[in-house]
Amino acid sequence: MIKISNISYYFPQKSLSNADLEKEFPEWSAVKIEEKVGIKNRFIVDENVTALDLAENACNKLFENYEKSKIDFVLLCTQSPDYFLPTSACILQDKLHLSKNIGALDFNLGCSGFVYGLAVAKGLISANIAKNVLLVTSETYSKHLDKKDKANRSIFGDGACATVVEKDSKGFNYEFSLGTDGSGYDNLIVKNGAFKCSKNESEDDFLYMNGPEIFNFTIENIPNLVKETISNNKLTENDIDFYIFHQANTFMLNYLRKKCKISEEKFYIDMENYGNTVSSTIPIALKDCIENKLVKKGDKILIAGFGVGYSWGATIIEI
Amino acid sequence: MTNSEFLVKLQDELEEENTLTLDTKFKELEGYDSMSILSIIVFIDENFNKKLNTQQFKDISTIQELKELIGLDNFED
Repeated sequence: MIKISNISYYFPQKSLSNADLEKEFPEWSAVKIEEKVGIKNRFIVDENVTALDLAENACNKLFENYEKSKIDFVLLCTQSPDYFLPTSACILQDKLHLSKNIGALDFNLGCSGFVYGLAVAKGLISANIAKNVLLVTSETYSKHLDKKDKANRSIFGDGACATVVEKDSKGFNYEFSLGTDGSGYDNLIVKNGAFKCSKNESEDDFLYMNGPEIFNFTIENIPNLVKETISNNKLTENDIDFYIFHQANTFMLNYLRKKCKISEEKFYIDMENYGNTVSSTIPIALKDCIENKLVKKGDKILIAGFGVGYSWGATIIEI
Repeated sequence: MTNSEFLVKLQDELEEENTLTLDTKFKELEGYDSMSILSIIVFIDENFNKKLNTQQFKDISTIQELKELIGLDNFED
């Protein structure tokens, strides 16, 4: 049994609005971006700021309302680490002045990262390896993007979110549904710069995303993922009070909602102010829903993350 | 689905003001942009329960060719 006890998110200072994008790319209309993609603004890090810095800030914000000495494990989800080695989560332990008697590790996932992080946290807690897990998702996709890539620069935003997952006998205990299909690996990829392919000053040095193929992948897999998650937990659709999917793009989300036969009032879409913050979209949305009272204590919320990998996962949580 | 139903529904999905014909080239449509292919994916999924082969879609230019990509046996005329 676990509970999600605290969530705090943090964005970099610099805003990139649709008007800013229009100035840089005159043929790219701000109105069109908002209409088609559902995003008005995203936050972008300065050159000298990293995902680890954002993670540190999100955690310090969380610690304004949570005693940091209680943390006994740190999970950091990022695809923009400070170094190839050492592990960024180890550096985070030091920056946050957490106890040295804790575990810490990075894991490399994108849009499915929060669900997987929750699964791992639940596993650690169930196995009595940890009691209070600090699950941090932090991303700076802006650093992977070509300056000329107006499409992806319109979609992705930088940001971090820190969540505490605690052991709690009065908490919740739902099954997870997870999926992986590596045949889709090159539809969302930064090809060059690691060990398979060196940088060669081509467009392969930057992020490439095949939007239509990824859309095909979600249509094929997400409706079943939702069905399976509900039935694995011996529930029906009527038992689910709210759905928070990974906030990828509003057009895709609207279609997935229809395909999953979810009513509009139970389905969260809000990408306006942050864009697609990758592994942080779900916990940021969850925090906003709690603050804006879109969800209440005892509600069963189905969360589903999907994307880069391909990797996907869903579970049910309560707040 | 008949040919005329196909053209009307596709026009609606693409939010085009002008009527479409089989000879219409996608790139010549006023509102056609990188997001339009997502609308076409929806159109084919909703009406034919099929997946659009995005690789093959890159090689076509007219609506007639899209019909052929979907498969002419899915149409009444």
